[in-house]
Amino acid sequence: VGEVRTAARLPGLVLAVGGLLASTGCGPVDVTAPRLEAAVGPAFARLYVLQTALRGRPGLTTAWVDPAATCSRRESAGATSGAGDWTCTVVFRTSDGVGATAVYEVTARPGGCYTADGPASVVGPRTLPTPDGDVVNPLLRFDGCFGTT
Amino acid sequence: VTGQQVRRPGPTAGTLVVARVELAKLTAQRRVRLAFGACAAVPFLLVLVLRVQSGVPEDTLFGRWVQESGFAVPLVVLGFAGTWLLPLLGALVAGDVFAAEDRNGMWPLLLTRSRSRAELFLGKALVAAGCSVALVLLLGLSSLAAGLLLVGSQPLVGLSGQLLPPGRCLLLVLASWLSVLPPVLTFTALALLLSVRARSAAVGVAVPVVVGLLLQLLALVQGADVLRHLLPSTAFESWHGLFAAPEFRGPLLQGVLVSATAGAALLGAAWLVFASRDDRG
Repeated sequence: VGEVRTAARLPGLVLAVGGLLASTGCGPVDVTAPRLEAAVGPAFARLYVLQTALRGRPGLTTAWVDPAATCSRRESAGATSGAGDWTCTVVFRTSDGVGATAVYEVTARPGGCYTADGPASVVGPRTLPTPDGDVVNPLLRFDGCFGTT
Repeated sequence: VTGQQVRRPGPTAGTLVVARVELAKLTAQRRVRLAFGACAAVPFLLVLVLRVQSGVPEDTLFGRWVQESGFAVPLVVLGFAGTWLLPLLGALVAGDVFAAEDRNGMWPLLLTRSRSRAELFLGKALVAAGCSVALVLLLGLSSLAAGLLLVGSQPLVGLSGQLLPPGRCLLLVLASWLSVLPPVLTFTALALLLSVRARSAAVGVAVPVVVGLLLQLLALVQGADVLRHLLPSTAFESWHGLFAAPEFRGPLLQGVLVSATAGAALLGAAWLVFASRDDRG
């Protein structure tokens, strides 16, 4: 009897999986440029404030940094959204009040998390010297996630 | 013979009797003891190794921070465990709890005893679910303890660049580990079904792990975003939203709904197979 029941469930299961697979390729996409830009810009600003504090100059605000991120797909034939390699250009104001640009190579994963790799020439080396010893430079490489629902 | 009247306990009490017997059998199993020991000890070994070689698991979320904040440790372990360890912990006891009786040829005896099938099923399912939850929580608490004792309770950088104070980190870490329990129990239900149906512990334990890995692969398919939201394995990552600013909780709700639906269906199927089996002939 058990075998009969299992056999009876099989076509339903196949149909369900088939239907789900057929639905791929259409429907909403999780990783989009606006979502990435809304995530990377503010994250950069907060980490810039943190980095400036680690360098001994606390008190900077994210409003001062005033970040604006522009993201686009890298090396992907015509694709404008989806997981993969992106480039995000962040325009911001430094602690000295000068306008600056940091270009990040961003790997966006399905599900809405990303890793951003920054230019050491702009954001500094891997570790920063502090009175308490070397600490991780939060700006050189950072992870983040954004909502997709 | 003693003249004493044997009173049959009610259905709830009957289930608890079955559960107590199962628990006694499990605690005697070396495999189960080993799993609990490993969940308690491995996080400490992991942190010690990281401290000695001063390396960091860069590829995992929060991996860069394991040397800087102890709160990163349970999150790295959780991120890593989602790929195959959580399905394994969910299936370890459940995959064997019915099949063991096949191996030992106990069914003809069990099914003719005073406990009803429903009591047997519920008792075994209850113990399997309890063990899954206990193993996962033990791993989580042990990772948290390892991080706090060996690294410290420094603030942690969240997933939107914000600095999270220690008290907040503690709450979020606990909430994150609790959030994976629904999908873990879905894998427990799958293991129960396999254990009843295949009557083999190897199938009951290994197949859920393989299914977990396959679902992860499926989630990587480009353009499969709608499908990914409907997979129980996606719920292993729904805690990410807790560490963002502003927090997003949509995936948590979605994960609970998906896990509960799939879990109920699998548990129902397991019961149907169990109820219709015939071992007396």
